[in-house]
Amino acid sequence: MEDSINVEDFDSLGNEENEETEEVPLTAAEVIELMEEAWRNEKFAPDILPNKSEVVDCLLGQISYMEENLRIEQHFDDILSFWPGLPSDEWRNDPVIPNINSFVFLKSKNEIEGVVIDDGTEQEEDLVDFKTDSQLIISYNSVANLVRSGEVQLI
Amino acid sequence: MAMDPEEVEFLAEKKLVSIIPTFNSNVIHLISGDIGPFRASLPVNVPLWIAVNLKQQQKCKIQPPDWMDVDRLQELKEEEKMSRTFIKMPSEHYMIEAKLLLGCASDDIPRADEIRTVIKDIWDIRMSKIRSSVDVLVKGAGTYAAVDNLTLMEINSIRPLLPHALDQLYRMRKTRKSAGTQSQNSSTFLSMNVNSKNTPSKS
Repeated sequence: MEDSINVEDFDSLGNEENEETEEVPLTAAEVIELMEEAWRNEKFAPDILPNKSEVVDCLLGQISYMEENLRIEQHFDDILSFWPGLPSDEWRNDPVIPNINSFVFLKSKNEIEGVVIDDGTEQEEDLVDFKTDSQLIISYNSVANLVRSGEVQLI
Repeated sequence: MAMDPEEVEFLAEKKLVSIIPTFNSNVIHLISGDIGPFRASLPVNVPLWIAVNLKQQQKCKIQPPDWMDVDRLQELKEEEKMSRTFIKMPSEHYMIEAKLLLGCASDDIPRADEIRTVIKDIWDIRMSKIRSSVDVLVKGAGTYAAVDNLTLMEINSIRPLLPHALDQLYRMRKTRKSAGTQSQNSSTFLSMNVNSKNTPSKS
């Protein structure tokens, strides 16, 4: 794409501890990548991950732009009008508690040393090192923080 | 949480494939990036989903990826047979690419039938390795396992069964721990490098 998009506060997408606010220009293709990453993480994580509303807004903007480009307004209207709305209050009576120990598949994006493995026995903590691109099946609570920081991708 | 095969296919369809168009067209701007320009009989790379679509409209010939070759695949098959672990496949989505391309463009791919057979053989060898590894992993009460070089489609085939089985084992360990039984660390290395915890039998 020749147009690039400026996303404010984009640092919150990656490293939440990063205090510096920078405008990172991203191409539409890169925004799609982020969206897809968020989709896959959310799909496989047992708990609810931080909202990526910046990515969604950014992509919706791009879609409006593309719909003019491609002249398929009808189709996109159908998708965009699908918005199930807020759930009723009934869930408060019977909250679903996720099993954050459940097992997930992941791919490591970086070298990560000394990940503490929770094996359920709370004794003799096992440590494991992830290599870049290595894939594992592991309990989610051992890696939940790495999913949030974007260092690993759930697959 | 499971992933539909259609969703795995969706992820695979971004893979670039070389086609030889039979038409001319300027660059087409898509949200995921530009494709084209298309010049009749000049090869150009497009995402798999576009290649399949154009082929179905008979607007292009598909150039099969380098690895989609009987001799190359036979070598991979032998390598997969000999290897204790999973070998790295030439494409992260070899099964889907093969299915889609052989499905719509067998006239553009030399020895398409043989290719189909070898790929199926490789898939079967890998699935049988997966089954025996899962068996050892579960019996050994593993706490994590490396699944390097497994493709997304293959991972999806052991979901949700394997994660669920490990969830149950985790619960059992937790219960046993609160019941005060000792456990001991030990690791086993298999095709899936499994790290397991075995409880020694009481003397």
